[in-house]
Amino acid sequence: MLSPTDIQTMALNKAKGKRPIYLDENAVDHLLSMVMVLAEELAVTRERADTLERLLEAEGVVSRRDIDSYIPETDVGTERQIKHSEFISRLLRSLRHDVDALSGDNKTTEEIVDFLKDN
Amino acid sequence: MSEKDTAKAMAKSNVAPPISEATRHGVYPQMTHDERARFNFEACLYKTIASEISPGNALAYEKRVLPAFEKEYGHKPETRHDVRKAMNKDPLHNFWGALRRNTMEMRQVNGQYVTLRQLDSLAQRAAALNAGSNRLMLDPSIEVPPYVKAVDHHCMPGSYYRELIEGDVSPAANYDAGFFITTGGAIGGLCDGAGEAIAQWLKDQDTSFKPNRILDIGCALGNSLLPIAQAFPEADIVAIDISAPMLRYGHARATSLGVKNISFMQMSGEDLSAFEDGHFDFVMTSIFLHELSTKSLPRIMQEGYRVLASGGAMLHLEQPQYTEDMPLYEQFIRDWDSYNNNEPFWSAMHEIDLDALLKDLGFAPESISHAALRAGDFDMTNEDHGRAPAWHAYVAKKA
Repeated sequence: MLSPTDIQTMALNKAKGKRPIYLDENAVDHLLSMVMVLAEELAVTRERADTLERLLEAEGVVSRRDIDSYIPETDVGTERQIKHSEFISRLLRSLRHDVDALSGDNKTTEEIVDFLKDN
Repeated sequence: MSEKDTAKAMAKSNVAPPISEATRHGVYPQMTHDERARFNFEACLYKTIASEISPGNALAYEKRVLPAFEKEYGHKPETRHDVRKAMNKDPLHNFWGALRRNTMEMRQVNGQYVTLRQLDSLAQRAAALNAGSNRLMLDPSIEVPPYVKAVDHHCMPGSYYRELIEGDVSPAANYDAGFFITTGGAIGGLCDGAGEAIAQWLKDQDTSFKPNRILDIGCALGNSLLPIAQAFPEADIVAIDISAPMLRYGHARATSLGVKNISFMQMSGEDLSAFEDGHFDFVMTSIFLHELSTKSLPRIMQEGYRVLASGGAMLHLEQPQYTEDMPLYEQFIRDWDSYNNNEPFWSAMHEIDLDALLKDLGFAPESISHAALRAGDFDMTNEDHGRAPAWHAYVAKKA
């Protein structure tokens, strides 16, 4: 029997033969591969949520109409908006770092290495 | 309506059928909810890219790649390779290619996870179905030929012959599950549309055709062969392949589907010395020739001819060959898999003059014919070249 680590390693092995380069930058090829995997996992999660909703409806626990017509109380609505905002901040992290750099935090490590030599 | 019919009906619409519409059998891999959902997503990805983005390739060629080529060189492209090199600079074509390659890779990753985690149980299920049968004949001395070893075909890591444990069938289980996804259900729940098309065509041609002995060279897991075995239940059929996992799985799958007239034998088509001259009265390959090489293809054809009986027929099912009549753009787009889906012989194979080869073997020119075969009445508008359920049969009768 293969261990979970073996399965993880082998399932992600590359097929023998050089992979073609499609896009102008290798980095963009990698980004696209990552985006496609994320899109797949989003679709999988949505299918799972759909399964849950249908099972709950079949069991009479909650109907999908209840879900669609659900209006949150103000506190709950606010709490959820905070979660959305936190997620968006995480998503935009690297861009925000570029903005931060424009306001002064833009010393390279090399510059700091040099700074430490004299201080 | 059977499960299989549902899959085919859905395949004709704009939505790929979910993996739950694939026909399960005794050795079919089990899947969790999310594994099925990943396959479902990948099937939709294939289909949507094919219907919405793929037509952009031809448009990009007409509107900017061809004009730019003519401007630069002062003449039209002369070969499909000229077209390929020019198209490989086009941003839309490249992004389409990247998307398609990713879809294939994701399908492989999912199939690997599904089958590796049940490596042992799949082998046990196959062994239970194969136990006591004298119709599974493995020969560990058979070497994997260099043209199979050179790359992992179809970007399947480990390829079709990898054996991680004794009795391994995992490459076949992966291929079986994923084939339904890459074909979008268009060739049925058992992915046997090519075999159904061959069986139907044989019966349409000659209602009295009843072969006693059939040979299928490069049978893989036998999905194309089963409808032929069912159409000719009296025939004794030999299915050969170099991959033991494919044969173990193929035999188990056939057994569980109630097909009992096929012997699965580990053997290379290059050496059929186990059979006497004229042993078979029908010799076939199905979507196999493009996996070979320049030297092995004629050797396999030669051996096939030798074991074919006088009055018998040979049939090879493939995509159509590139001829002068086929526009260069179509040749180029049909060639895409060769360079992007680890099909290194695809391109060269499709320019071989198979008729000339058949004549060289000894078939009389008037005995050689072609037929266009399709799975059902599938709509071929915006054909997804290389993946559509349409094939070309090369047929010859031995005097």
